[in-house]
Amino acid sequence: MNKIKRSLPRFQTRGALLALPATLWLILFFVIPLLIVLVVSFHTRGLRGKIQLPLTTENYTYVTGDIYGPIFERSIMIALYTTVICLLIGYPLAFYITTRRRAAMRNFMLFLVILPFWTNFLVRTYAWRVLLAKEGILNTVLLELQVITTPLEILLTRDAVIIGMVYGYLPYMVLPIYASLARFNNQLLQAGYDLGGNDWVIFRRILLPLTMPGVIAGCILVFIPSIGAFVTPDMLGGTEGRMIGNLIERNFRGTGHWPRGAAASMVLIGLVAIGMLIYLALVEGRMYGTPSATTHRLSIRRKIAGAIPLFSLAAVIGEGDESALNRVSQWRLRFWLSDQWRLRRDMALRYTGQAALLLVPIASYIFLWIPIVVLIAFSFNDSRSVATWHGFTTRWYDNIITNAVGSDARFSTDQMLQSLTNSMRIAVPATIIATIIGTLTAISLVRSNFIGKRWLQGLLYLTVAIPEIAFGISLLMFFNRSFTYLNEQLGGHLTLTFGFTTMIIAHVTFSISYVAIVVSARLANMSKNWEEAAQDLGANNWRTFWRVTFPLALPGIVAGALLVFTMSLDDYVISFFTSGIGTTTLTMYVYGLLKLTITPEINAMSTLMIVASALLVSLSLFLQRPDSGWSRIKLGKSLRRLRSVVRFLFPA
Amino acid sequence: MTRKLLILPLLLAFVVLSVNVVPMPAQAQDASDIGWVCPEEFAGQQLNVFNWSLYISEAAIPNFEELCDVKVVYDTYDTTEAVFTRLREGNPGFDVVFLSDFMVTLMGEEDLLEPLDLDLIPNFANIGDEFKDPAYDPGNVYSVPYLWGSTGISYNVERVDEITSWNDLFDYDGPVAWMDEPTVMLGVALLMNGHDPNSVDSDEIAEARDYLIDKGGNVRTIAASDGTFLLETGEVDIIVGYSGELFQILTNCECDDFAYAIPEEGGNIYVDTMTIPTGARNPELAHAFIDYMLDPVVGAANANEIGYASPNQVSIDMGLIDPSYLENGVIYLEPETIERLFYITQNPEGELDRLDAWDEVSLMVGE
Amino acid sequence: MIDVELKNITKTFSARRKDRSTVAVDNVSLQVESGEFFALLGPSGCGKTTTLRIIAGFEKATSGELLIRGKAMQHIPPFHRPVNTVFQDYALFPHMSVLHNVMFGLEMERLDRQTIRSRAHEMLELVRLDHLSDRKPTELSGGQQQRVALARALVKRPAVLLLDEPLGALDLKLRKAMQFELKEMQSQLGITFIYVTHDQEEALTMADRIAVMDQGHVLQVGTPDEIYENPHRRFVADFIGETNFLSGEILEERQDAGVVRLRTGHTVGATLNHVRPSVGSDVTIAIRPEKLTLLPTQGNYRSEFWEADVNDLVNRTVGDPSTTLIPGILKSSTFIGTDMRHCVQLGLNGHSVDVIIRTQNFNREIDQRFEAGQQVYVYWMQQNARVLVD
Ligand SMILES: Nc1ncnc2c1ncn2[C@@H]1O[C@H](COP(=O)(O)OP(=O)(O)O)[C@@H](O)[C@H]1O
Ligand SMILES: [Mg+2]
Repeated sequence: MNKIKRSLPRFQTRGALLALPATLWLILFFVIPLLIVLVVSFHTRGLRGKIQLPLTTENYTYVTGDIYGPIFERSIMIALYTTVICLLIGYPLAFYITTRRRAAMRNFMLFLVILPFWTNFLVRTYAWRVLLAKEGILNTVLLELQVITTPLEILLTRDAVIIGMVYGYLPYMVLPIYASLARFNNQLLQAGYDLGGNDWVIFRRILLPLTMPGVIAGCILVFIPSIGAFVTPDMLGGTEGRMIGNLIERNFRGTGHWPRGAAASMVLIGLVAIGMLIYLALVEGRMYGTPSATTHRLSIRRKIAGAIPLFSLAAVIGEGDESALNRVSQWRLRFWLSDQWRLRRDMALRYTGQAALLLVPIASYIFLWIPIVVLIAFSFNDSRSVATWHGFTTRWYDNIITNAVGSDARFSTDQMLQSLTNSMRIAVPATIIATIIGTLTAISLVRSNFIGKRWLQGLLYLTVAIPEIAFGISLLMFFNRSFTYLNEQLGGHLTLTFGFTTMIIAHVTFSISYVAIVVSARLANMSKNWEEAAQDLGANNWRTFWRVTFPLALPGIVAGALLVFTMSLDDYVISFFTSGIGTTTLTMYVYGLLKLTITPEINAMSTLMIVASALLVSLSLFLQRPDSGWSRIKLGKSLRRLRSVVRFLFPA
Repeated sequence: MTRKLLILPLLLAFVVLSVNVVPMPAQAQDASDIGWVCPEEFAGQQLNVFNWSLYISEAAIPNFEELCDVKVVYDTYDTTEAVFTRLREGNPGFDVVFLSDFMVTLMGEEDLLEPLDLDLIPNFANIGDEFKDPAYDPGNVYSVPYLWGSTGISYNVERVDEITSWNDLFDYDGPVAWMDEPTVMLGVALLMNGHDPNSVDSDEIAEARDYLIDKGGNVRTIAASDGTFLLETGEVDIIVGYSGELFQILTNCECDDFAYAIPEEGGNIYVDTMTIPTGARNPELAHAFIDYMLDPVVGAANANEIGYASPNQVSIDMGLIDPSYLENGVIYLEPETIERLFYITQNPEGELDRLDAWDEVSLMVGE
Repeated sequence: MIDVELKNITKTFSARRKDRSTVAVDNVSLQVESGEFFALLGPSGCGKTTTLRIIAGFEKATSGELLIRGKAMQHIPPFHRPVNTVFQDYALFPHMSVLHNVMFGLEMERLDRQTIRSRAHEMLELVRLDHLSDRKPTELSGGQQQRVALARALVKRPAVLLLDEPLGALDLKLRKAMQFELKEMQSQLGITFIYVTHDQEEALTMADRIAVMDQGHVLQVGTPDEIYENPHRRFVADFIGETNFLSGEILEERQDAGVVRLRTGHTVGATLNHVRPSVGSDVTIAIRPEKLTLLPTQGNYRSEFWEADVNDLVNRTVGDPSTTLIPGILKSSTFIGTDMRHCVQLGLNGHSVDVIIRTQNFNREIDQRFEAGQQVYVYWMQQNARVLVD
């Protein structure tokens, strides 16, 4: 008789296990704070902004009413524009990067995308203001070139917000797309051409569908957070560009109206959740190709391959979406007889496409780096102003240098360097932890099915959706209350308090989903065959991961880690509310300078960070063997090269 | 990637070394110039200070560390409201917190501040009488003043005629920026409508709200704390701002393109104070620090370097304050001007009305 | 000794909608002998790969038991099974060189570096790829990739090697050569091969035994000879080689033969094997084209091997169910190299059926010539006609 086994298949329990760290982490540090926000949103504001009974739904009425409603709408519109523009710029850019032949070049190009964001957020935004101001650089240049006759009014308009947000969120679009494109199998494109698709068709029917996981991930990572953005609209948008994030932030400020802020946050989260539900219902399985779906698709491909010799070509060429090929063949049938004009049209298409593929990346790099150039220029400004130019000096560097060398410690410089160290002490561990947990989560989401998978997915999206201020404050409340309770229980043996740990926890919490989403985009495009082959050859899960999954998913993991590191460096609000004694980060320090003025010393600091990172990366790329796959460095050779670098820098 | 980043500080040092080193002129004052004596044996202890970034002279902290042989940990925030939120959810260990005047009222009420022992702060006597026993903290129970300033109108003299009244702002048709301080902006509007700037009457607040909405057509932005940037770059012609901010851009440009005015109807005066929050770990040392900060020499250095006005009468009397500051009409004001200034009292009544009113104002103006 | 044994293995891929679930493998039982070259043959989508993946451990059977060398395998992960796979699309690690791909499996066994290298090189030599050991898989041709995949699996010296249409992507010539090489290698190494293919010719030439699958079922297991000569099911007969099917009704049943009245009205004898249709039920007779003989309607028939007077033959077959002679009209004759392929219409009015007849081209001088449109006789012997049920 058949013995029917009803236990969960092995991979399912393992999948659930991989997702466990993220699940527990998010439940503890995200769901509970989120519930706090939810509870607060139904309370009444008491005197001095206290949260008190009775429970009420009035806050929801208010924030969905005439005053907030239009702002919600505007926020969504701005977020949409931002997402679309980011996609239009980001896709060709990511494509350009992945199609560089040499690995070192690809890494370098990718790095050029993220590097601008390792400068301080505020000085970067200031640079944008200098660029966009009425008497700013852009207008001056345009007037000079006589492109315009009257200065454009950009700063303090909605356009400025969109420009600023596109700028700030571009890496969040480029990196996931890059991750899903990396090691893209060119033969798939060739097969498409072979079947008679022109460039547009190949793009629409093959490239785009195959990179859809990356595109979707990018859109999610741009759209959702940008609805709730508040610093960029505040700094660039003026009254015209005010977004819902600004209102939420204001309500949470001091004695504001926390229940109202909480209600607005919940509405925002709710909108995102509804959007996600619709989206998931529409494109089910695209994002996280479930294992059965993938195999199923593969089997379809085999069938087609068996049936039509034409397709055997497509079948040999590794991973892929056969339905795309299928559609190409339909297309081919429709345009089987291609006229002379069709040839012309296709050639024109090809040339424009090629031009765009070159021009968009160049323009994007200029776009990404122009504010940095301004920022660097102002680091030499002979004045305390970062707004107007007053002559050349190196004194800001001298300050930093003398301080770093220890010959003459200045309190202000010391503070800045200390806060930079603090930033690193948070960003580095947070990046490591979030990358590990996020990668495991991605693997479990893409490679297995388990009970509650959808919930976890939803949770990941929500952590992207929650407005930072709401998250920061609810986390503050959560930590404070649990510390009070735990310290009582511990009876003074150990006192838990705010500090680096709480800040790292907070950063990890909002970062996990970024890593998970980016790595998922990568894995969804990665055939499971390789992992199976490794297992077949005797590699257990652990070794399969390290020898096969990890190196192949590395572009995604690196992209995720880069984003996390950048976010961690940039974060102000959440850091502030989870900080303790002696934990002021660089961003917090620079925000604190707003009371007086941000000095070019911050620009100098940012410039040094850029230069240092660039040197570091160039060095590592230089040491890396050009064709060594991922980051396998041949030690002896590297040391020899390193020695020659040192000799070159320090002769004798 | 992360592994590489760990080397970043190292590399930074390398970059730093390779750049030409020029010694800085020693502008920091020496600890030996200060007459203040550390009262007790605090050696080896730690003091945790919470303040705006660099809202203190370069030498103040190092000197204090030297004089008392203690370690000072200096953390920073951007707004005093954020501090309120932060401390309401427990004090992680700050000993001295710098606060705006109205926040002292609030946090005092909420038991977030320790009452001061003025006996431990003999230098409190140095404070000018007009800053003692203030409305926001009667009897100086919780706070002693640190620096003060005013909120008025800063403007570009090349584009705007001399400003004497708030009407010059409200009736101006070029671009302007207001400030994101509901109490101040509503206070001005209340004043313009003939009411108490701290009025708690909801009708009067509604009137002020409508007034602002009506006058707000030319508002490009309601700036959080950076209106000066817009003024400096010519994006707007007039801003509502703090005296200290304008002073910063005047120093930056070494020009007189910008002017500051307290309109005849009045303006806001603010005092930043030093307090000891509830749960401070080392209140004795905190008292000593506050006393140190009120020393005429130390206080003068703070005021001079930051460009804010000192409430320390002894510093002024001893001639320690930069004379140009005393006269430039931005930082220190004529006594009759000071007469016109109002404090924000943050009366709990009318709080919600203000909040709602400001919500509406900030969404309706400038469109 | 039995190397691999499947007992009532069923695999259902469940979908959220129950009616979309697929039963990919349905109650399959197989025994693969040690050292055997065993082929799983069937059309695309019949469940071959799924069966193979169950053996390899990538799919878990919904029910049933899997034994490898007598050990139950259901709970053993793939990396602890003494089997290795040559994947359908090879699944070579794109980030490793050819050599490292081959070394990978040995590294998992924690052998020392030296042994690993030398064994990998040995293996690469065996597949004649040692000179390309530093290349990346993407820099190889299809055949080379296939050989790397083979080397990578074989270097582990598995008890059983699973091959999933390994030659599917190769050109005919290369395929033939590789078929030969594979077979050679298998008999040299003495490793059990389970070989999945949809190419019946490949299965027939290479395998010691074949399991024919359709829609998740194993229809028949046997040597190529048995499968070809003695198919049990219409599907098997149809799938393997060319077959003529003649349907009719069974009139009489003897020991191992039956009398069937064809639709055309003719009554013929046919072998009954494994099937015992009740008298009066509908059956199909299958006859291979080369088992049919084409005769002229009169005169002498002459070929390399026999010569007969047609009238004699007609007289002899009357009343003898062990031989059959049916008149028909030759519709076409096609020259296909080694053979002539004739299409003959049996039966005249209404119920006619076309049969295919192959005759070998031995000596075109001697061979009987036929013209299209000509009246002919089709002759066969009872043991070559088999009664099948569908
Ligand atoms: N992971 C899967 N999920 C759902 N159906 C599958 C899956 N894998 C295979 N199938 C289905 O099972 C059947 C057998 O597939 P397969 O074993 O791949 O056939 P083949 O004999 O061509 O190798 C097919 O109908 C196929 O569509
Ligand atoms: Mg198959």
